[in-house]
Amino acid sequence: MEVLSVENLKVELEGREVLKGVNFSIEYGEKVFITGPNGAGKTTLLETVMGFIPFTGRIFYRGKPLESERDFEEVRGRIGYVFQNPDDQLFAPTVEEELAFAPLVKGLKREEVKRIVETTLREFEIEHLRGKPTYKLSGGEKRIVSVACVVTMDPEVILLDEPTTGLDRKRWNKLVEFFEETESSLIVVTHDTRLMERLGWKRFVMEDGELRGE
Amino acid sequence: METPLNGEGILSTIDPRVKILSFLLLAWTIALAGSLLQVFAFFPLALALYLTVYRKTVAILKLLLFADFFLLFVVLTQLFLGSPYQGILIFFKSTIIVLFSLLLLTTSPVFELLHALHHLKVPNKLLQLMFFFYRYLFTLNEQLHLAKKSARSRGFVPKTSIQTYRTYGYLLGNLLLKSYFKSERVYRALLSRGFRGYFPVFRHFQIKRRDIVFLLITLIYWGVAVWKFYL
Repeated sequence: MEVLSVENLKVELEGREVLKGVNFSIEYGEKVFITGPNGAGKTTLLETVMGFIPFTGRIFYRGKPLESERDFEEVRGRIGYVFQNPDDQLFAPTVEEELAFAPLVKGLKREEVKRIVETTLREFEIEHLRGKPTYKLSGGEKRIVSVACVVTMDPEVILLDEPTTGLDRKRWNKLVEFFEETESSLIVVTHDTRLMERLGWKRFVMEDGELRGE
Repeated sequence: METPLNGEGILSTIDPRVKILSFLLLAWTIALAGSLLQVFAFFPLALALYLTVYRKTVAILKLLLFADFFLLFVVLTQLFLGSPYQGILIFFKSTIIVLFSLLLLTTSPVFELLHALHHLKVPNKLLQLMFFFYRYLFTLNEQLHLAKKSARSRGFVPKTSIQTYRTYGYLLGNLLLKSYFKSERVYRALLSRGFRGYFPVFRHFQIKRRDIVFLLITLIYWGVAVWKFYL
């Protein structure tokens, strides 16, 4: 059953057609890669699905069309988005607060939030970073924390934009382990051929605003 | 760019709410002082608090000197154009208030102070503004350094020339644009994680015995000083 789909999605930015009628769908638990040259529209596709960019065409979440800002607001807690640049994503004062942000916004009880934060810190092996200010993290640490803070939302779908950039082997393996184990649907935009070969999921190629299966 | 006395001495373990309230009470009372005696009534308390962070004497002196530099103009104006006594009074009043602010406020991280202000009913929007301003000051600073480094790596040497002014114009313009786009992306990051105008906090304060003792000592000292020198 489809969890997220787009139909004839078109986006025009500064007079240029960035997405030219993209059709795409993903099922519960399905994991796919989107690859393609720089400037092809991969990030624009993810940002449009999150409701950040005006579009024409249709976006469906669990079969329900997303049309207004209110529709997107409702589903944002269930669709996680890992930004291309983790510096844009991390805004809280410490790693722990960053991880707790989404569950607290959801209104979960403090004890439950604490449990989620502890589990995620352990899962990503970042317990030692818990009290560290996010702006003082290294590039790789920022990257892994930016994934972890989306995971604490317990989303049904996660959109990840270049999640392996700048990761050392240990953290790369940790992320791959997470990709393999998670039950969430994943859409991973990447150029990392090693990652694509290792996981062997379905690939889509975005080229000049058009998406096609490989 | 963390607060200068953060983590230093026993003062850093006191609940920031208690410290802010103590500071406001002391600063307000000292600001109302009409004589040097009334100002110096609080000097022993400031000295006692200073002794808990004496290892940071140099940092404290530097910050005091920095604040006093601006005071100098006020004092000089009073000395030559007004009442010299008033000038000296303003100088000591301000110095001791700044000293209390250093000892009581800068012994906590900025984020904890903002959190404490939230508990003290400061409007949420103002606090969010302060939070994001402080949070992204680091990023802005980092970006400016990177841009300068980039210019230097391509042979830029600042001189008194049109080219130098133009380069600085580019750097500042670039910084402004980057800040604008960054703010848009950060807003998106907030939205993507369910932000709806409220910034929740995970770690909450708990009043401990030492906080109550600290508050009581401050209140008793304040009461005695006011009774002896103000009434």
